[in-house]
Amino acid sequence: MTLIGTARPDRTAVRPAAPVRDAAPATTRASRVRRALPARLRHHPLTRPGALLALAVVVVVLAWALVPGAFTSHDPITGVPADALAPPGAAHWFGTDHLGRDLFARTVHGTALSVRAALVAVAVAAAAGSAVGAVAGFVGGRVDDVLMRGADVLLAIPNLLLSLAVVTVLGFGTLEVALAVGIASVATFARLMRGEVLRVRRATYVEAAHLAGAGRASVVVRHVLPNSAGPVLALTTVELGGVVLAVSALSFLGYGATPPTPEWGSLVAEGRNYLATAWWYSTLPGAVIAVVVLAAGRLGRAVGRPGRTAR
Amino acid sequence: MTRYVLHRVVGAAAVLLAAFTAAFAVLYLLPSDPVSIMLDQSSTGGYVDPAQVDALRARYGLDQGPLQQYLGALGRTLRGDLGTSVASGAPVAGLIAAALPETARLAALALGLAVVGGGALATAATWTRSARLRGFLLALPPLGVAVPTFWVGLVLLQVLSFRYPLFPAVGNRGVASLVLPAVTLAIPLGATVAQVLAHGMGAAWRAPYVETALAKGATRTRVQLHHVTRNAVLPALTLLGVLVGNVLAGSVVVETVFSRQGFGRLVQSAVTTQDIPVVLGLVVVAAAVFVVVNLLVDLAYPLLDPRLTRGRAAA
Amino acid sequence: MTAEALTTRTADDRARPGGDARPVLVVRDLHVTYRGTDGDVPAVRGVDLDVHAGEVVALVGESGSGKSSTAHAVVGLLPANGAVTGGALTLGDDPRTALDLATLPERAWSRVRGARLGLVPQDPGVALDPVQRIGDQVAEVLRIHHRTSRRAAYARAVEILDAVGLDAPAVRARQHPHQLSGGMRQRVLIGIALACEPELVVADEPTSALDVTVQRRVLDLLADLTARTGTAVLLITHDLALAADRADRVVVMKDGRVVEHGATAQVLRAPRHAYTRELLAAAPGLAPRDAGGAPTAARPAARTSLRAASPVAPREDVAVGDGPALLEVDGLTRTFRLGPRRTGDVLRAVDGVTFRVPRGSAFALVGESGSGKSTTARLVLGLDRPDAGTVRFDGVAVAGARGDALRDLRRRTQLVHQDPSTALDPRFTVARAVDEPLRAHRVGTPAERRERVADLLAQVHLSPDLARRRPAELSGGQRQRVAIARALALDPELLVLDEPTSALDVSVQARVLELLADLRERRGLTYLFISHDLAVVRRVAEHVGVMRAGRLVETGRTADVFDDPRDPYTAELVGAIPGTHAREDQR
Repeated sequence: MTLIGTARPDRTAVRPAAPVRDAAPATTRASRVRRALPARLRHHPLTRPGALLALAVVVVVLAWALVPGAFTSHDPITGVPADALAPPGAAHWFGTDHLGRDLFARTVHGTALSVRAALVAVAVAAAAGSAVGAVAGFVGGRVDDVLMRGADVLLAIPNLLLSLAVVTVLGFGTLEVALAVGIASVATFARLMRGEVLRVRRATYVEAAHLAGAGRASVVVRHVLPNSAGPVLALTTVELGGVVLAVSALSFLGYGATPPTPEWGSLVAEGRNYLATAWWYSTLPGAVIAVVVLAAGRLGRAVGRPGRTAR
Repeated sequence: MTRYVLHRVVGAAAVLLAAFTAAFAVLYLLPSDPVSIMLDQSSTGGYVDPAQVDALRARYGLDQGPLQQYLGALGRTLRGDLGTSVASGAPVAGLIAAALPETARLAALALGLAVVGGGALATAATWTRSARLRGFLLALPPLGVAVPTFWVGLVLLQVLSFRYPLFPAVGNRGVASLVLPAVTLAIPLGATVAQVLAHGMGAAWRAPYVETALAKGATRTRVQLHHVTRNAVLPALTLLGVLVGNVLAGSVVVETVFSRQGFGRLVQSAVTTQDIPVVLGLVVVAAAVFVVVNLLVDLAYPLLDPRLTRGRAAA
Repeated sequence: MTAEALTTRTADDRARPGGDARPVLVVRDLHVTYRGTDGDVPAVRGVDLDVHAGEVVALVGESGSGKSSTAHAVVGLLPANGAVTGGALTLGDDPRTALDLATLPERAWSRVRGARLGLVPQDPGVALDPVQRIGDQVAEVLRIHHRTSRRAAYARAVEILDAVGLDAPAVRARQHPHQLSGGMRQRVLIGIALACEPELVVADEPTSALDVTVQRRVLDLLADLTARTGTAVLLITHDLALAADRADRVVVMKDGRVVEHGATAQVLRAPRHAYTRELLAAAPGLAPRDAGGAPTAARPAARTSLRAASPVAPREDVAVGDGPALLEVDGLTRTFRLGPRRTGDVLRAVDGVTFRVPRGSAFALVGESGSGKSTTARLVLGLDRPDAGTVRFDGVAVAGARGDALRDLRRRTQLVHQDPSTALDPRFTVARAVDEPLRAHRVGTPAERRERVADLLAQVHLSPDLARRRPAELSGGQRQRVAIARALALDPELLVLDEPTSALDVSVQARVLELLADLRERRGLTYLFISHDLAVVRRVAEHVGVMRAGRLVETGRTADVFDDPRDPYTAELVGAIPGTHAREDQR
């Protein structure tokens, strides 16, 4: 129930009947488009142009991961040596690498591995972190102390170093990298989930439910968990971007997929030796990573800031 | 006050001890066998001599029970002995001590750039009355956080070293070689600083005390300098520990991209050779840096924020 | 206290109101519009307003009336998405220095605000910079407008703090806002607003965040100081009673327009507009006393039984009212630890509170914030455990109840919370919220429950098509009706009402109070009513207990306690009810 974007919560400006929840100046065309939508959707931040674009990016990338063959006819593994290091053009959108392989095809075909790793990592982090945080928030007392001190310790080690330490033990490979990145993010989710559970548990409507005679389990299932889930879902989306970055960084450092299997981070790494001669080699696959992370972040912020009907 | 200091110092020591324990548990006690990992790396060929395995086990104390191993390692660490590298046989403490100064220079420059750049961006974005300029400025930090560090480094190298040879591409020589790595490292850090400060300053601008100040006849510039900045910077100070930790972590990628020697490069080579004692030492040092920075912030905070000083007496 | 220290010129220097003197502030056909995602929302639509020197003009209206937007347009501090879209705002009674504020550039504003135009903000709790010293914050306004040295400005700031009635001003000047109470902070803000002796001060709900006794003292100070300097005051308030007490003239706003204006006495005596009459009727503080104040008159049965049993009202503190007690509270004590255990500092939030509530009656606990009235309510409901004393509901000890006994207790006692916006789960529809207690107690089949929910909504006068809405799509009054319907679902006997109307507009408040009175009569409910608002209590409860610092200082029949308070604190509290002056004037 916050007034987002208003410089000053002015009660006069916000009539109960027609709340002006978001005062951020909208561009005229965007507001006209949104005015055509049904009232419930119109105010949802997911309908902003930026968020829609981000959604489109994420959908395209998921499609690349599922059916890479539909987007490119080039072979990602075997190249045409005669075409080696060809600059971007109509034949090769992203140019070719030193073995004459089409870089766009390698990027598209590498998506599945990178996206899968990111999803595994974020699933591990969200599932384990939410579980730990929920237990800490519900049980409280000594259990809460121990779990949260543990989270503090994990947060004391920079994420990348923590995942590197885990990779050292687990060994190299995409799945190992995904697990390592996921483990490094557990503490963030645990903290958030615990905070949300505590916030909702203290809410007046939870007390009202107890007074209405609702049992403990029913309050947890009907009130606490659904109302805690929103922010956790938002963090999951935001973290997806961070996880894509971390996974590609580890694969750039050489701990991910083994050549010649294409993967986003390792594609950028392969181009390192051709910086002076083939600018596109590292630049274009890297730009894809940046766009995807940016889109995930934008989407996360939209999910995390629900419109007036969602909260 | 002494109680507060003591409380914080003991707390910091406890976190550090726990961090050591966690790292030790991950690296030595997980189901995988450290010795076979080490041998994989040190010996050539597939053959593993059982006698060699036993010798190694004895040398790294792995023939003892987990508790003895842990206590032994802890005792040595407390004396400043972080063990010896499997790959080179050199003492870990010496390796880290040799690598740190280079990285400290890089980290200091990157942090400085990040704080100045991020702070300036946040200030400009919240101070301006132009919605267009604000929108543009506030769109930059998410971009800075989203671009992969290694990619930024490579693009900078491509443009500023290869196309226009302004800066050396590799190496540790001179200030010029420090510029590109520091800028690369500063981009995600500065974006984080800008996001946190812009959020804090935005909240401060919406606070009623700003309206009071404007009603006194203060100009926007005066409000920004006297009221908004101080109120927004204080809570952001707690971010410093995370920033320093991120600089150390970021150095892994940046020193690899720019082929520099330092902490990050040591991490990269230790992980590549699965040199467990070195990795443990590096993780513990990074945690120690984080804990010490946080401790300093905690100790300085009550001096800076009047709300935390004792004596809330309204007679 | 040296109020003279604040002023260097006297009221005689300024023209008195009336005659042909130009007003200090002239507002003509003011329009203020907010840009929203759904297009422009007009908040002020053609307001005309004059404020003469030395005059107090109250701008009265409910939320959404545009009163606050008008005030902010006057001081040029509209939110970023709001703008003056038409009309003129002229400041100054001297034609040579008069300014049109509507077209004033940003640079010029900084020379007007603070110097010629002061603002006393709404919530003193957050209106001072938390990290700067009080003295520096007062000195800032002087340094902006006068070229004085830092030291001279600071010395003057200490004088101002003295003038606004702070004890030990030199010490206070070195302190930070969190070390001052809310009333002191508002005094500091008044000092800042008046430091440069402006022509006009805009006071935006200056005391709505303060306790009633503090509110009176702060308003006295503002009246005193502005009278000395001849500063005109534009007082923005939702409280017609407060306006009646404090203003020379009243301007009533509704939906962005002025619906009535005139001299205070005239508006109160003979309101011309229907809305003003509605507001007057709804303002509890202005209700005439001769009806007995308490609503017992509407219930002859209850009144007779009370009269019959006690021809002379009992004033002893232990037992109020007679007949079988539904709720008996005896020696109730609850302490909270302050700071670390070893220091042994405790706050006695509730301290030996004893009262009884007969079945079918309404008992009100009144007190200012921190008096322990809400803690008492929680103890009564069994939401918190007392350190000593007992709460008996229909003869059963609340604290000892477990299992089925507790469920039974839960069914028979229900709570209506203060803030309806947080008391409803944002994800639940209205129907689901009202259904929750029925479901939890396994009442009837789903079809029967649906019927019961519809019936409950009808009882609280909510239209059936609201059933599928969520709280965010309801107004404050509608939400509170939903909360009441939920509390009634299980046919409780005792309803604990914790400030049920304090978050609502006055006309909405009146309707909710009406509903509560009506429900009580129809269903024979017993109320424990918690409130800081004595005027509301007077309407609702026939018995009242006055709490201060955890103790019950006085109990008795509402009319007796209010008309003839025995405890000095009660007397102060009653004297501070807004509307008191106005009512006496009318006699």
